[in-house]
Amino acid sequence: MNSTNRALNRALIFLVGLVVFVLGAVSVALGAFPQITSAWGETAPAVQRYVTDALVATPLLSTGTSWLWLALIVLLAIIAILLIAFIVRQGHGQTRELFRDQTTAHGSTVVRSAVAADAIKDALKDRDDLLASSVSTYDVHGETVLKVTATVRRGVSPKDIQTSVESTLRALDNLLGFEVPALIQISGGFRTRAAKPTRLS
Amino acid sequence: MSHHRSTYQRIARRETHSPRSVLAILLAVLLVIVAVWAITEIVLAMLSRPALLVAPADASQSLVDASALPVGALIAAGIVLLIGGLLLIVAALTAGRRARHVNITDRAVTVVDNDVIASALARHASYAGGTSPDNTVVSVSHRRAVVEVTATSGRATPSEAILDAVNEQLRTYGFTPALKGKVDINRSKVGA
Repeated sequence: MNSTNRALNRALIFLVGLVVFVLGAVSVALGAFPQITSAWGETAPAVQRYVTDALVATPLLSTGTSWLWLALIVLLAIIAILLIAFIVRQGHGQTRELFRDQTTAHGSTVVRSAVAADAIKDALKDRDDLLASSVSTYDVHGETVLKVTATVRRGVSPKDIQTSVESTLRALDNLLGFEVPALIQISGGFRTRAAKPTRLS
Repeated sequence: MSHHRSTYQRIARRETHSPRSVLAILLAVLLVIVAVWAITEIVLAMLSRPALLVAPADASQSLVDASALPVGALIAAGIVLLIGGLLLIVAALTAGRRARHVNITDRAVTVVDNDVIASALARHASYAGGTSPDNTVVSVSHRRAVVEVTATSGRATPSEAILDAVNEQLRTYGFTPALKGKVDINRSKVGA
């Protein structure tokens, strides 16, 4: 329901998985194949020398270090900032507005989500088969969608809840004069029974 | 209304599949920690200060000497990394289905947790079979609803009636994917 970029989540997991997998493959190859072990022993010092030369050849003014280190710091900082942005972006998409009319000569009309939330909650509050209910509004691809969450008691038929929430929504449609798409989420939240049923003899 | 159909289908898909957010955030946090640590080590090395854990020069040297490590350690560490990487790749590519069922009508899309379906079925099954609700256990999976009833001693337990009641309920729910009812009567336990 929220606007979390799921493809990006999976891409990150896949990328990290791939890197870890390749590292593992290299490690196994180093241990298991003598040719690769000896090739590593020959190539790695040369690579290290090449990197050291590059660092010496790129001095940062006269500080005695290389600006390549600085570039690496900037690169790592950019990666860290992108990752933090990625974390912060998760789970957004809630809105406060249910409806906004285009401005006319007489002004514009805004309907707050709280109107729908209060109306639905009020209609559901006296039901004894519901433990709790909550209403929120999301923006799904530019369309405002109501989310009605109902926590039901044990043994309650989900169809009954669905039917009654839908009729509440239809009443709301009549009240507002337009139809807001809705998600009804029915969950149990049952407490696990700790003790066995008592047997009376 | 049918013009909400595609929105409903999108929501239904997103509500019945895991966003993999927890894993992605966990990995991102780990990567940020590693990046900040690496930056700190580089800065400390530039200032010729002692390293926090490993100085960049020492790290590169131990990487060069990796081929001299004991074979067993290399292979063991490699296998651990291979398995970890594979698990992440599998997590990235599998659907990550949630234990929920969906019903789309013209007014709303309804998402129901499997344990709600199970408890509702248990109530109807015990009513139809004349057994105690405490002796009726229902487990709902992707396509099946299995009702396990422990028969009351000295009483006939009508499995046909229970199955009919369960299937009738499932028909009214109209969930996708459709659930198929199954009844198991457990007669081995005495004393229920």
